[in-house]
Amino acid sequence: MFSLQKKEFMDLNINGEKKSVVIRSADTLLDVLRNQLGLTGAKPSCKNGDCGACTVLIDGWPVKSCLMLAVEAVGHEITSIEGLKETAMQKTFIDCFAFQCGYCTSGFIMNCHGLSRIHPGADYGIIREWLQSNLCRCTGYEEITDAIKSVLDQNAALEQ
Amino acid sequence: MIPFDFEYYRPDTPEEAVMLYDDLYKEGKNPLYYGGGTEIISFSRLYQLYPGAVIDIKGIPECNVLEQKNGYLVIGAALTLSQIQESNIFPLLIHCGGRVADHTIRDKITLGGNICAKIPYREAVLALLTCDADIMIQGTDGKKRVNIHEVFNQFLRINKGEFLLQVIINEKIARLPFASYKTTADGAVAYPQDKIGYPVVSGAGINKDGKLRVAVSGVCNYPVRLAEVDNALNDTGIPRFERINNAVEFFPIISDMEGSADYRTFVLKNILFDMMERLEYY
Repeated sequence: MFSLQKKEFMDLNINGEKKSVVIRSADTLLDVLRNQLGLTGAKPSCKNGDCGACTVLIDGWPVKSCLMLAVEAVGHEITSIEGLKETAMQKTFIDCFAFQCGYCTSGFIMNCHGLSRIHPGADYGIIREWLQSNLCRCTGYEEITDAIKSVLDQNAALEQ
Repeated sequence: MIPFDFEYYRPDTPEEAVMLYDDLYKEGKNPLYYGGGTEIISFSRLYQLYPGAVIDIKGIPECNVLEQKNGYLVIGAALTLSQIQESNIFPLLIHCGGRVADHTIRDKITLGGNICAKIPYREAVLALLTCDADIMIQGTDGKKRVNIHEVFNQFLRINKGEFLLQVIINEKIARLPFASYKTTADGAVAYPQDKIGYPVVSGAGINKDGKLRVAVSGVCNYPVRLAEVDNALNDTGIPRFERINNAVEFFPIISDMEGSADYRTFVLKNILFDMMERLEYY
């Protein structure tokens, strides 16, 4: 049986690399990513699962890292925004002006990247449902929706 | 940040989990079973919950099954609402569970967690109540299969140390036509969050052998299906509006910041009327 009593060294598989970190059993993944690993792309905001600024991928699925214990992530593949290098979603967010202040952007990109992988043929209804997970209060969701559609179209064109 | 420590365990078998619970309880560690953990993390962060240990059931294979077996659907308690949604295995549960929180949180919230949560709405329960689901409970004496109506009254009433292992639904009932609704205080927020929020009324219904079965949440402080309500709605000797008026009298309808009791009653009546239309039940 796997267990963690208070505080120990644990291996996390983060962005394709194995990192050994000291984890307290009650630490959230968000706190460990930022404070132990220096991966500050996942943003702290509500810390209550409402805003989505801290979204990361766990085995490809977007999850709010403020609502996950770091110890739960042991044995799973974690991808943070730092692990998405030169991806179409990041470039398309720029091309579509899909951000303004940028604080929520890494969370949006993680969620949208996950969507493009899990639902490559997503229709408007699925995009809308997935975008409900993230809050942006300074730009509109239309540009973000455009960015997702653009990436899905690019991926579909590449497959043909 | 959770401002206190607790021990974390991830057992491999149901037997190991209940034995561990027993040991930890005797040691005074106030253990909690842990599924998605969203509520435990949120409440612990706010000092509203102080577990000395959590027992994560996600490592137990029986809690992760999703299968059709001998005419029944078996759904493990540790499956997330998103996993169930993607499987398309139980459409009514997908509809009810699919309106809990938002998509990313549903990647974390488990079926068992939603059923056992403290939040009043617990919409996944609506599908189980209307379909007369069985639930498999693990205790120190082994497993037992019981009907949900025997153990769910406002919340899941199982013994200390027991935990929810699986949900089992008759496949024929799970495939019946259904109607499912969630009404929120629309207009308070803009696209795409306009459908996010606690429900004013959330409802689910099926038409089984010419009888309507209805379960609701949001109306009162727990998900509920009442025999009196089903009987009133199925009293076909009187007009439909009158049946609906009679049925809503049985609910202890609440008033809170999501909606007044009068407004909830109005919405509930409309939902019941629409439900009858959609299920072709006149």
